[in-house]
Amino acid sequence: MLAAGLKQSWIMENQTKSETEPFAFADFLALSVHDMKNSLGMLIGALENTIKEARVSDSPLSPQLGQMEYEAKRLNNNLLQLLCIYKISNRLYPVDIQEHPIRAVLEEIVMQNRPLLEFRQIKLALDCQSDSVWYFDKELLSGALNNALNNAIQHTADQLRLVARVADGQLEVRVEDNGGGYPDALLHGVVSANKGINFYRGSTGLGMYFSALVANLHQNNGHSGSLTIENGGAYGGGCFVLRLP
Amino acid sequence: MAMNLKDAQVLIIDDFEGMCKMLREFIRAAGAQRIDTANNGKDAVTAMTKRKYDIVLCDYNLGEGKNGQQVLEEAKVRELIGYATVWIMITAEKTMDMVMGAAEYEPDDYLLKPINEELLKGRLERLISKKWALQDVEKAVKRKDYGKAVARCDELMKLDPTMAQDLLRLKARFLLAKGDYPAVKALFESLLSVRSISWAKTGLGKVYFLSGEYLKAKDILSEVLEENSSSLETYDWLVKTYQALGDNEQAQALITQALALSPNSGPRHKVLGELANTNGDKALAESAYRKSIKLAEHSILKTSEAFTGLAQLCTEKGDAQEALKLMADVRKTFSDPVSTLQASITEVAAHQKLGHTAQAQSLLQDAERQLKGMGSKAGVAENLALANAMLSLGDKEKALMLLTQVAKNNHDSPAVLSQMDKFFKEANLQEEGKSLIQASKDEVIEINNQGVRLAQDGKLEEAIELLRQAVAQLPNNFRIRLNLAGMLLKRLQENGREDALLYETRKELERANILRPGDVKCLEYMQLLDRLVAA
Repeated sequence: MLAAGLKQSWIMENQTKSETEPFAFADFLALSVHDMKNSLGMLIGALENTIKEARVSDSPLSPQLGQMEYEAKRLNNNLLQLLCIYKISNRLYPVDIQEHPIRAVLEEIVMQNRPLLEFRQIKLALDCQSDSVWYFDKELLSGALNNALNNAIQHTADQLRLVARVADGQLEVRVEDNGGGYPDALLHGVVSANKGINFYRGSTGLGMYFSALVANLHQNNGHSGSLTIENGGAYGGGCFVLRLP
Repeated sequence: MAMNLKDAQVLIIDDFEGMCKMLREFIRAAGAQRIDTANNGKDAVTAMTKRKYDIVLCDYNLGEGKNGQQVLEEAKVRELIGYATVWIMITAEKTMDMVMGAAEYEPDDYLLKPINEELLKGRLERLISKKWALQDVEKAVKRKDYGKAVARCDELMKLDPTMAQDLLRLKARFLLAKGDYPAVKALFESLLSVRSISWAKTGLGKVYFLSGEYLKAKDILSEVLEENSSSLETYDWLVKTYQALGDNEQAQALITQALALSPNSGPRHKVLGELANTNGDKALAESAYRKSIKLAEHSILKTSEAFTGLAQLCTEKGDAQEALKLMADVRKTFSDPVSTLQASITEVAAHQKLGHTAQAQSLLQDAERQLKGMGSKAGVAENLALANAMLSLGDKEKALMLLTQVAKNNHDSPAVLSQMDKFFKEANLQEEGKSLIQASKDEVIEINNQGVRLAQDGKLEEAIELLRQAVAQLPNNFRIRLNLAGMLLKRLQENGREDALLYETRKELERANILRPGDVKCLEYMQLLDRLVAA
């Protein structure tokens, strides 16, 4: 009897609390995602160290480790995108469009992906002038490009090109690969965040949705950014093209 | 600044042992050899008192106790780190607090997890070379030679266009520190003529606020919020603007929004407490003050204001004992004159509520002595609080004397005079207050005009003497100090330079600039003085 009574009162308390202080499931998810990101950060760090050691000792486990890092990075990118989308839609994301040296930002993105690129023996060419600057939210652009790189690493043969240039009042960043390119069904010009989530190259399309959102958040003098996917470029493979005004 | 990674002293601060180890591995692989670690803010501060660090890697989230920002603030305030120290704050995700503004206590950079060795090394190298490039600028700032600092920023901008953004921001900060509002306005306006940049817009709003152009400040700061690219600084200045415009409801709504974006700011909860109190929501005010006290517990920048605010609420609702307990805490924790004075004043009210008249009387005398001891450091708020305590203990004569002094010191400040007007209204002394303010104004204007007339009649010596006496009587009066400086300058122009007069002029202008920062006339006089010194 007593136990049942206690339980009852606990439930009552909980109900009144949820009435005065609503705790939305989305908030709970966002908090958990944040926590998961911390763990993943540790996991990726540990994996990168292990991969290095495995390479030195010529371990037969190397291929599996490389796959593990790729998957961990993918998870991390996805969580980051989910968290950003949640925050943006609740107007909690601090969009911070500032002038940045473009090459420095791109170099950091390459550094973040260096271990995986080396492991997969993919050559990456960075093509960007060292003195050019542009206006963007560094974390949002990095999120979109990290995702594009991760995607390209999976679909390229052995080469990638990261190109950025400023012309006609906008910054154009391209991620090009020498893989088989996007299937025709997906090539319908500009990718819009408003069209909802589609399936691209076997993924949920979260990354494309996020990148289109990032493009859209960059506005200047009535122009907004855009995301295009196409085939061609320097290597004739898939191209991810982000343009920011 | 001998800095390559090999010789650098590095401190890693992270509450998570695994993360500490990982960072240590990364930085060792990058070339560093002398690496210490700390697992909480307290240990980190202790480590910094024992050793000078060149590089600090600090996680923002440190569990119980101080957070990373509070550790940084303490290190800077206590000068445990110098300007050459590279401080990187590590966070799991981008938050509102990371949007770089022009705040005083910012790290050199933020780094988002996950971090790898190459990324950390690349970022460190970049920051070290940036510090190196900014060396001369920092040295000039340390000497408060802002003119030199600005000139060096301009030179560097020509050398490296990728640094332009950082340099422009620094330049704006130095021009503001100099009080050169016209120049900083021009800088922001030229940036904004090309593109809408939120930090420049926020900066322009801040300058409008500081020059008293509240409506313009309101418009531009609201624009930044509408563009959805604001920093917390934008909110802070817009809150202040609405307060200055008397719209406390709107100010409260905005500070509430800022707290939703960044819930852990002690100072902002204090502002919410003050606004909720003004707007009549006593329960919210109380909880905001309590949160503010809790959040600032480990911060070196904490102030006693939330304590006194809360204590006043406690006395009001009949819990004078808690008010006294809070003030005992204040006396234990804070030793600055303003806190001590406010504690005495707050205790007067609490003891009075408890019927301890004798104690209240003796505390009031303490407070009077403390206010006198503060001299020109006592602000209008402290004077009004003391006058209020005098009135509540029935000593109207003393209160009016004190208020007369405040009115005379601020005879040409509409903001202060309207604040006093409000004070008199609340004390049911509206008519008496009106004539007190008018008489004070007339008296000071008469002295000032007499000085100006003497000067116009060629009796410059007599005029200077008259204003010197007036300054001695009314040390916090901006207008009289400014006119005295103007006459001293005229004398210097007529009779040639004289070191004692140059020194006196400089002192008057500096005091005037503290009383009312950025006044255009005051700035003109300073430039004129610089020319005289250089001639």
